[in-house]
Amino acid sequence: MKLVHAADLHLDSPLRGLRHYEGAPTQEVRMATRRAFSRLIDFCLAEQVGYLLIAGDLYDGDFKDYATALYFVEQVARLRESGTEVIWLRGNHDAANKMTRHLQVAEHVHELSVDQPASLVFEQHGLAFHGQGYAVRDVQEDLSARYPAPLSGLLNFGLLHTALDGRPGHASYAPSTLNGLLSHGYDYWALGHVHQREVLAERPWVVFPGNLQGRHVRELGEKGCTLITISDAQIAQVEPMVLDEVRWAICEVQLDQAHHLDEVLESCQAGLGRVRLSAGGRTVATRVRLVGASPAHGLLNQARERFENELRALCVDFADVYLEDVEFKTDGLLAGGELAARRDALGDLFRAFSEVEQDEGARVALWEDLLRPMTGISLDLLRDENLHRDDILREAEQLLQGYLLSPEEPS
Amino acid sequence: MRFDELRLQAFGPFTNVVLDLRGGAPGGLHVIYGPNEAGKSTSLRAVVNLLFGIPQRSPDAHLHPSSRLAVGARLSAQGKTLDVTRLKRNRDSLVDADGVAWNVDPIPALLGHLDRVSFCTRFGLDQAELEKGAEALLGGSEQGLFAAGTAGADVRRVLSKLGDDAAALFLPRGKLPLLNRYNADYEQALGEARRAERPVEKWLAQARAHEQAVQQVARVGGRRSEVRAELRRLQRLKAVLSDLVEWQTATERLGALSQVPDLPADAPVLRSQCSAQIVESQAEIRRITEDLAAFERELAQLREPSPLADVDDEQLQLAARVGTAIAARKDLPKRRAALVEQQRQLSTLLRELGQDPAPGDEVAGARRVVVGVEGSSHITRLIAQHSGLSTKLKAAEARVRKLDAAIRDLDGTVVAVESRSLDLLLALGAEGKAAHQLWLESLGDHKAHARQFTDLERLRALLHCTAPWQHLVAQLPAAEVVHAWSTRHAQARQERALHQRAQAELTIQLDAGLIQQNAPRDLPSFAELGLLRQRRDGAILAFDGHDTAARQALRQLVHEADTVADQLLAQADKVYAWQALEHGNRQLKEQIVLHQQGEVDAAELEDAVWREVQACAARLNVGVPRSKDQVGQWFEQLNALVTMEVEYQSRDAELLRRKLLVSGVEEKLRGVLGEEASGCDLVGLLQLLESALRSVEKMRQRRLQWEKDRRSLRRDQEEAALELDDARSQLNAWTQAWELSLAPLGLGANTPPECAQDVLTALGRLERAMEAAVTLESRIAGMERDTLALDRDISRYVVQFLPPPHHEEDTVDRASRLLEAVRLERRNRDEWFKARALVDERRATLAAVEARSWTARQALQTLMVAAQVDSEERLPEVEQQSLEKRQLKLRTSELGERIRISADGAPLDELLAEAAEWGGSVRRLIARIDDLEQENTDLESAFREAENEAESMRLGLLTYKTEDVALARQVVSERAALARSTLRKYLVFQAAHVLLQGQIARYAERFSGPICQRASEMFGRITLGKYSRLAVGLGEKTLRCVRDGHEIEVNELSRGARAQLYFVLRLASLEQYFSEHPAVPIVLDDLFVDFDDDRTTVAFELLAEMAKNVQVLYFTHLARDVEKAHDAVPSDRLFTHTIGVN
Repeated sequence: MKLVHAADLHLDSPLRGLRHYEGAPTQEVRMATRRAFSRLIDFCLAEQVGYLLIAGDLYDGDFKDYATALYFVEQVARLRESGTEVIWLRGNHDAANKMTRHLQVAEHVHELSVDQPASLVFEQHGLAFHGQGYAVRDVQEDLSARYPAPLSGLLNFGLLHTALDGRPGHASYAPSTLNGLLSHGYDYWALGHVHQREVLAERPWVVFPGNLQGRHVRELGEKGCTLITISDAQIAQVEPMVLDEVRWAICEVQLDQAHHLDEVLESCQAGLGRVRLSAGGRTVATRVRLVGASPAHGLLNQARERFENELRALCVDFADVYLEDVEFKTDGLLAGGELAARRDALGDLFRAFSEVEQDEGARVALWEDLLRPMTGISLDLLRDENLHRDDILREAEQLLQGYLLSPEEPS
Repeated sequence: MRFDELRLQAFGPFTNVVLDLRGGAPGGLHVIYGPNEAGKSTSLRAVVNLLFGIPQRSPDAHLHPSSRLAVGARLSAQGKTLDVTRLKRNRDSLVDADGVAWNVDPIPALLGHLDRVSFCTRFGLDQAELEKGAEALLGGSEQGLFAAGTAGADVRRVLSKLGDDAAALFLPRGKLPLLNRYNADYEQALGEARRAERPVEKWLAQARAHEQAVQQVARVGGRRSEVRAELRRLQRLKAVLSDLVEWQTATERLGALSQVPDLPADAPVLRSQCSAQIVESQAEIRRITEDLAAFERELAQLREPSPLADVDDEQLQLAARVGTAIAARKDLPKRRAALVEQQRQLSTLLRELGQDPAPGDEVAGARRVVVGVEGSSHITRLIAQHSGLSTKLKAAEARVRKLDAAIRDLDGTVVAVESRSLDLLLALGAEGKAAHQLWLESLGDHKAHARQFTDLERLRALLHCTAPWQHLVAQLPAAEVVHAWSTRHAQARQERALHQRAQAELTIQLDAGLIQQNAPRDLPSFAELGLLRQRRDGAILAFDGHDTAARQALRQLVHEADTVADQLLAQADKVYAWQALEHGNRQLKEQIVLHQQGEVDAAELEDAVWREVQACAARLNVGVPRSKDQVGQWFEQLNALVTMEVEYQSRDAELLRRKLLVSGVEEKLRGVLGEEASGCDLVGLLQLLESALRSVEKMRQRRLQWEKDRRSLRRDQEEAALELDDARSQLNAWTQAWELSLAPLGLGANTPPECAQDVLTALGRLERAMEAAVTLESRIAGMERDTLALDRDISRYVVQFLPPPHHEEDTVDRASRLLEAVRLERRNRDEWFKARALVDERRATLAAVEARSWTARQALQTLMVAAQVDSEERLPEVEQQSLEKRQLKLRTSELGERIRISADGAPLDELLAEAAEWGGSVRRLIARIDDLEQENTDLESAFREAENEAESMRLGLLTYKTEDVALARQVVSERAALARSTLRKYLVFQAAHVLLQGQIARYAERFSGPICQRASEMFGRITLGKYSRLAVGLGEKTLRCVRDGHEIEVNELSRGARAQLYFVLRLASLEQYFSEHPAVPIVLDDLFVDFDDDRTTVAFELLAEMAKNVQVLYFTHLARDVEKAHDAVPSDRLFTHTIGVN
């Protein structure tokens, strides 16, 4: 008997941070979440999976287009013929989404209640599934505390959408504790909400399968579901299955030895080649991060735009690489500390950067100065969580280094 | 820190040159003088290299190898002395006096951690920097002070660039900058995505509507089927009703005729034909009987034919034979005379051949002499053969002679050629061959070279390039510049397209908006309504406490007023919607204008790039690209041209090297080639050698060919000899045959063939005459034989059929009589047979007519039996009844089939029963059908509508299967990413700008007071009092110079005055700096080139003041500067040094 544990489908959620540019593999990345879900269903059919467990978050909470729900219904309907039972519960996103209440699914799809913990027993296979979905988005109680005791003689699975002790980068909904789960007596905790795959315990199993498809550069690496194999009424094997359509990656390029832009590009080409290799033929959305104390630091900072264009052209040549962004994080050969140690006006200038970084008041004032004239710009853009003030300051400092410290040799 | 000693140990042109710089400590003004080419600039570089290391590619490694470069110095700082030497190394390049590397380089700490560039710009100053700094002053007092204070960079330019870059990305109320556009795009995409969303309520409503529509289709469809079934049944009945009635009537009549016999359909016709046949036969029999009697009488009157008429013509043939006999009777005497003449000719010919025949024996004599055709032909053949054999013999003899001569010639030529080839080859020797080989290789190269040259020329022609290659290499823009142009060009094109598209889209939107515009009438504003309602509520409150009924009435009135107000509000919504539309349209128009401007801007940018490219083409002396699209390709071709040029030139060098190799054997070649080579250059010589060797090779080839030809000739010669022998033996055989052939003619073997030919001709004539005489004899005998035979035949017929003649008749007369008797007898026979045939024919006709009459009677009798009547007269009545019966059967059958078809095979009984239901009331049936048809039409229409509705609903549901909205959200995400990225860039630029500007302001705030004060004083001195002081403009932060009480802006100063101002600002900044920091030497390089003598003197005074505490190293190539320094500075503070190459 095989079961598949998946979570956080976030169907039709757009892949974020991908700027369109000429030659970018745009078509390949669009609808990636749908294709990944379709792969999940294909996988269940191919592996003759008996149960598909979905631990919440079918789609984004702010998504209102019912086509997404219909797509979900259409896909899970494919499992009816094969006799695969689908068991799911609502996560914070589903609770907030009206579409969930109107899902019209067949009898092989079972939703666990949102009002109280519920159990589904399949005695013919010796399995029991317990769980409770979110009635509202912001569930602050530990739902698992009220889950029923395990049923004897059966393998007990707990489905739970939880932040578990508060995982970084995720809202702390339905907080639970690992110890609480371990002591509950279930054989397998099928968790959802945390997008990074994580096996927290093996006896019993406590597993976050991660989401099916990474949606931005913070959701890196392989994504998919977890395949559970049951043999002799015991969980014999738990293994990850990769199903993502588009792989997210950060390509960090060391530029210690690069003097010229050509050498930088060569290093990037090599790095991108490695990233592609690791993606197994998928389209890779990658951020290139240039690091190291590099002789080419000044040149890079003076020609960022041109370099980005050339890097894009390089990615276009690769055809399956989507350049998400370029981070210029190199240092000049003269360390920042040395610059700040100078006893002249430039030393004062670079010391001023450090002072602003350390002085919250100055930083806020600077930020207000910068944003004040931007009244016409959408607040969504200005509130971007990626817009870190420290990074902006650091980039501005690097830019001024490039402009003010000429790399030319004096004659 | 200061230099006590500078050692140019191995640097540039210097070897162990030492400058003693101890004077004037802790400061001291050291003027280091070196005329041009003396190494002044080298010394200056030595100072910098000592402090910061010798660069990887040093221009000073010409006398001394790069690895041996070394500069040393003794430095003193804070009471300590350091002896350091800088070597050209990647690591540990600074060593102490013992040559040991310093663990920690002490120099950075002494220099306040300044890098090379900063040191040079801060503590070094040359003429170029002076000018650059003077330009930087144009930015304002703060920037000028900052620039002077740091000497780090042109902050004015940096600030301007940061500002421009930021402005290109975003302007607070702009439309065109990237971020403004991307933000608008993002908001637009977001709005579109939201509008496209199909929430669950819509889907549910759609699904419900679809279900209802499907039910309606089923309902209407069911009723429509019922109506159609009934309608079909009634229409079927209506269609067959008349046929049914007719079928019934016919069936009844058929029953009445059931006893009538079934006669054939053609019985009346048959009957009438038989009757007519009988009557007609009787008349004919009568006529034929009469004719027959007449013909029999006629036959009886004719004689029966005799056997003479039956003698056939072949047996007779008398007429022709009688004609021949008459002709022979006339011809015979002529023939006999001709025979006599022929015999006479024979006699003459025989006598010519030496014979003498007896009269009448001419033919026999001729027979004896004639050799016959075979013998004559044999002799003729031999004569012809003789001619061929003679020719063949002569040809064979001539060929043998010719081949002998050819072989002799060939042998002579080969010997001569071999001798010359060997001589040349021996003279050239191995060196000559080697040189030749080298030459051949270079020729190969030359060809490749020439090909390349052709390609090069083609490319040059394509580019219309006339410039020398060095010019191209030197002037071709850097790849970065080309890339920048291409990028700008592509960007401009893209932007233009973008603007045009946006403009088109906006125009469409605008058009759509304009169509919707339909201004409602003006209405009071919401504010006015609000006020009214407040007043109303106030009135209600104020009215509270009054009479209840009145209050109720008031409330009722208020309610009514509220209703009206709500309606007004609804109308106001429409007004506002209209206003919003108006507003939207205005915005669209503005956006269109902006996009038009954007398009123009992009076009201008594109034109600007195009102009740059054209300028580049002009600089390079090449043709411009054919169009703007060709810019990228044009640069690629240009680069290819330069690469090919460089390759071509390097190949030229290789060719030259080979030529030089060849020139080593030049003398030897001249000796070998002799006078022919005198006056030739190396290439000419090599060409001669090439030609000579080629002719040797050609000779060798020819010799081989000749040997081959000689062998062939020998073979031909042998063949010719064999042919000659053959011809000779054939001629011998012919001579023997000739002898044998001529013997019967009495001619000898030596008779020439021409004479034998004459004898043969005479014999021919004799033979022909003899044959003519024989023919004549034969014909005369034949004629006599024929005449006798005719006579015999005629006599036989006459005896058989004719009475004997009354007198002696000749053969011809008898024959004529016989022929006349035959003719008469044959005419009689023909008439008798004709009469007999007529009688027979009439008898046969009579028999046939009688037979027909009998047959007709029999047929009539059969018909009467079938009709069951005993007289012919009753037949028509029965025939009529039988016909009616048959027609009724046919009709009922037709009707039955028609009804079956019209009623779709429904059983006849069922139809009859249905018809019975309507009791024959067709009108009622039709009325019912009309009703049903109307109902069916209505139902059809309703069904179609329901179906359309259901289909529409189904299609509506299908739209939920699309990915449009998800894709739209992805587009939103992409646009957001673009906008965020641009926003981030903008913030970086802006942050850099804000912080740099703030720092400049802070720096100026800190130092503008003391520095400006000191600079003001120095500026007055250096301008010899022309300017009294400096002033800083309040608020505006501009630097001004006071002259004659008037303030003058910096940009109004002359270039020289600006340079002097920058110089004093730098000095003042440095003084300020050194007041807070340890001193380091100042290195100045020919600063005062453009200063006049007086200002130079004052400048040295100022430097001397600085030099009290700071070491000043002033490098100059002007002797005047040394002189002015001496004029300005006391000798205890001035130290001059002269440098020059040893």
